Amino acid sequence: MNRWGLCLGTMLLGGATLLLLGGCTEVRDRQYAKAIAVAHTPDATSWQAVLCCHPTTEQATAQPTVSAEAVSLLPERLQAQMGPALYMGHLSTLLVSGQDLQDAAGTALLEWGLQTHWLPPDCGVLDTLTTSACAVLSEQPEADWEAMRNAAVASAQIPSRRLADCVGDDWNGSGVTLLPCLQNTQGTPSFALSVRDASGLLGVLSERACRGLALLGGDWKRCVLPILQTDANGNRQCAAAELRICKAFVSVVERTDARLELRLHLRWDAPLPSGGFCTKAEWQSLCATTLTDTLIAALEESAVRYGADCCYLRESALQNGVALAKTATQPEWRAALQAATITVASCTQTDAPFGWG
Amino acid sequence: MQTATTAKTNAFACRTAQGVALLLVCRLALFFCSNTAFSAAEAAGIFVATIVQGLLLAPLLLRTDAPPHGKGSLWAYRLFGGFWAARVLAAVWGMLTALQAPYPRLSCVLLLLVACYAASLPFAATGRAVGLLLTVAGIAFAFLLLGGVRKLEPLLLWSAHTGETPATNASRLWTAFVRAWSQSGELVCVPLLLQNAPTQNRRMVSGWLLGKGLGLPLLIGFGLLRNGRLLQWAGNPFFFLLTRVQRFAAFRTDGFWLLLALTCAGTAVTVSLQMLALPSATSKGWFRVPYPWLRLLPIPAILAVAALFVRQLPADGWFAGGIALLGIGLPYGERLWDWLQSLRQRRKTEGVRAE
Repeated sequence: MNRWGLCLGTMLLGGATLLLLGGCTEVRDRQYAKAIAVAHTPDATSWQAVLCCHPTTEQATAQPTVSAEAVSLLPERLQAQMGPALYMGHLSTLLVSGQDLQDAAGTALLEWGLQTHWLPPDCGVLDTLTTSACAVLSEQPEADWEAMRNAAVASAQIPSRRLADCVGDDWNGSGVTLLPCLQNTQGTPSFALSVRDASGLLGVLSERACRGLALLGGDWKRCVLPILQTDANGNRQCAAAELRICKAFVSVVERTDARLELRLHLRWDAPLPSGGFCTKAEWQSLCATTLTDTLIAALEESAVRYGADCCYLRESALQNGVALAKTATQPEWRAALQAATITVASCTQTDAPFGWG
Repeated sequence: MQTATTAKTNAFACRTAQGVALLLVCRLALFFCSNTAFSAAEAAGIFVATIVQGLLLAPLLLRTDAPPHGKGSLWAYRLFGGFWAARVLAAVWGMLTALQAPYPRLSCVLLLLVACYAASLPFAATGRAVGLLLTVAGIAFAFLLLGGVRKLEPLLLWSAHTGETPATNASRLWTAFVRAWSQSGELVCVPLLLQNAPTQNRRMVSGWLLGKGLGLPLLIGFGLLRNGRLLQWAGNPFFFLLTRVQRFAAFRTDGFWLLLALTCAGTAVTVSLQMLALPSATSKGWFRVPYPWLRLLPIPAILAVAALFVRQLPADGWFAGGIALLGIGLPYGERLWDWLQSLRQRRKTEGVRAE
């Protein structure tokens, strides 16, 4: 290689490097969103962001609400308002609200956010029901929604539901999704699950159904069930059953009358509390009844009442060779679930921590 | 004058295990950068493609000597090496951009600089590096599988796109099969790695095929059992999988897995560059002497560092600058080491003479 060749090569490589450096994103000019609120109305979609560490305050700060006519315009509007680029990799909570969040625009919003990698698939979703999500976020910018939600999942109040799960239900479930929601029960905030489909909010599941779905989901760490008993004198007594083992799954089979049957299989263990609440046999019977009632309530309210399939019922039906599961469209599958019956196939008390499920 | 076969043997000679590691690491690089959701079709596509590749390579393995490489085939290797280096770098850039990592272009430039220098080292160094890299990756994969095995959902093996027909299923399998081929660039390295030892060659190719044909589908199956119903999701499935496994929440682009992905990609680029610069039968020196154009490397590296500091980027600037300085320093360090060695040798010789 002669001297001119070296000079030319140097110029080319150096120029290419400088050109490549021209498009760098500066880390210092990035804003990191901790929580985002989306309030969807027929006219526009509003977003609000809470930033992890605001450059001036070093604290979580709520930004003013931004509205846009089209979903794809939102990031630009948000960035135009804040200046620096918004990085969503650390987003932990997505608050949503609006009667018609799951309509064409609403679904597009979540799907678009996921497909463009604007929203991380593992961020938690929280439905604020009829209250505007933006209002909730701006009122409590310091609230740690992620920690609250994780605590509710760990104590088996609700199952773990992430953005990926909600969009997955919409893509390959029955088109009905369950979102964790925060509601006020007699002045006390508590977590529950809201049911949404393309027409909007369908309802909110009961506390027992939510607990049943949490047990089916299996992400809980500690679960204490209230066990009620009426003694010979007619007095009601209550004891706490701390579940040591609770493995539950649902298998879906087709009955001879072409209806689906949701078969519940349960394996559990809860130590008898001290204090002479009842005998061991009575305790086992009471616990089994409470547990099966809880799980049946979960299936009745989610699958049979609303046609929601968030426990992989379709996959179970495919595994069992149910022909309908292969060919049915989403509305057909939903209708089939709504016509299904629930039976308890097995309920076993066991000491073995490992096994099926 | 050396024969063509000898030239080939000198260029890509390595141990059997190192050959297996090299082929697997090159495949892993594109696996980390892939952008297709984990599904049963994807796993089946890789498995079937591996079987076909094994069948195609069988006649090559029946030979008792290593295949010679003429001038034409050397040029084909060189062209493919250039193309593959560009392909891997583009995949890395795509992955970094999708993960919203800072400085994706600069990272690719620095990766290329380091790969250029690594390619100038003797091939034995690459062999040792890939052996170490695959060991680390194997341990990490074992921890990943152990970390997530408790939360597997076997029902998801039956996950299917809603309303799909057998025809669409077959089409998906075909797409996955073609994709598996398009990511199997390491296949071209196999003839280069073959030595005049048939048993060793067969072991190497079998190890690679087993690792790829069983290991990757197993990992995809694991991801499928964790990822739920997101079959239409167009993102990096591996980094998504990490978010679903406890203690591996590394979706946020920083951490061990991203570094491992970048290192595998850097190794793949290095091997591609070594193919690009394959010596012809009549040339001298092979990989012992740095390429002439390696002398140009310090200049863009210095420009990169200067630009970083002009732009006042403290934290990442220091890191990127450190890598660039390492790239600059190593060639001169090597020369210094050679000089010290020659000095030592001269003193020894003089000592012997004096005695």
